[in-house]
Amino acid sequence: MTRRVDPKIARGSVELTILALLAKGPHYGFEIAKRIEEDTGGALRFKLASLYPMLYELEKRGWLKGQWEANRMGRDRRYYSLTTIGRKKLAPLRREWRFFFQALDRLAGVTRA
Amino acid sequence: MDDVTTELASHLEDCYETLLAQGVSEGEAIARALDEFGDSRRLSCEIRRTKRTDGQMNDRTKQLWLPGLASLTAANLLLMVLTYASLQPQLVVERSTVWFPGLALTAAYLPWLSSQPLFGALGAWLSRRAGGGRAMRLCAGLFPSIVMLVCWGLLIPASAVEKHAWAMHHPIFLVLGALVWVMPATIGLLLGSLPFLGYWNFRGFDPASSCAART
Repeated sequence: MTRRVDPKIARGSVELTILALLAKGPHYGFEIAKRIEEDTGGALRFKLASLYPMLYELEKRGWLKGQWEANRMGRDRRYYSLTTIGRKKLAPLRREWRFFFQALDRLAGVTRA
Repeated sequence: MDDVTTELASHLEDCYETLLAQGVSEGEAIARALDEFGDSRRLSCEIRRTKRTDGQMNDRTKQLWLPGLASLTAANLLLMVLTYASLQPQLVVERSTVWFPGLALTAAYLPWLSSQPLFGALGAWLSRRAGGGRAMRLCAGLFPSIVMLVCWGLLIPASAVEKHAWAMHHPIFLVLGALVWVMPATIGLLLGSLPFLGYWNFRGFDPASSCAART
């Protein structure tokens, strides 16, 4: 059975997760949720209720841009892509998380557990 | 909100179809797709909150325009006070020979110029507080100078329509004026902004990384 990260812990990482995924290319909402689950081996899973408010929040900040496009099946999807601002925010966000893990490791020895 | 409804409905539809493709029964697929919603009232509130734009400022307003305007207003208020205290500039322009006493003007404005680091610091600090990046903090700190430079830039077309058009005949004075008026103030503002640009750590505190965390 796949071990899943506690939603309370996972919630804090949703911003970085979405930005990191969209840095690879545009995706629509369901695809984002599916890719996050697949790429993390099921450890991270964001439900619609936590994913979309964050997508809209990031869009409002100008980090993402949503655009309606029809896919191959002719169904309209809202594809999200990183804006220049979003791309610039990703590097410091990654640094911040690295710094956080290093600090946590020094305190709680998370990598040795 | 129509776009949101369409998007969420499309997500549920995809979810339902994927589950069916995995061999899940129809009833179970519907139940699991609907479970994605969680607390629908809470979701609705969250989406409304993030979609609401009225009365909310965007990042640029908080990180650049407001700190910059605060710095500019404070600098101008002090200038007004100094002017009332009889420290007015003496610009001497004669019809036959134009004389621009740049250094004399700078000397008259020394009290004001010496206060510029404070205003630079104010702009950069306010921008940092609002989560501004290094470039944004620098722009907010130098805001009064940027406005001053724009004003000098506007003098060129303005003087072209003016009767005597002295600046058009002596454009070098415009450049000199810009240098004498804008450069010293810029240096002062820059000095004040520097501690807030995140180049140094104070007691292990790095303002740049702190801001990145806040944004």
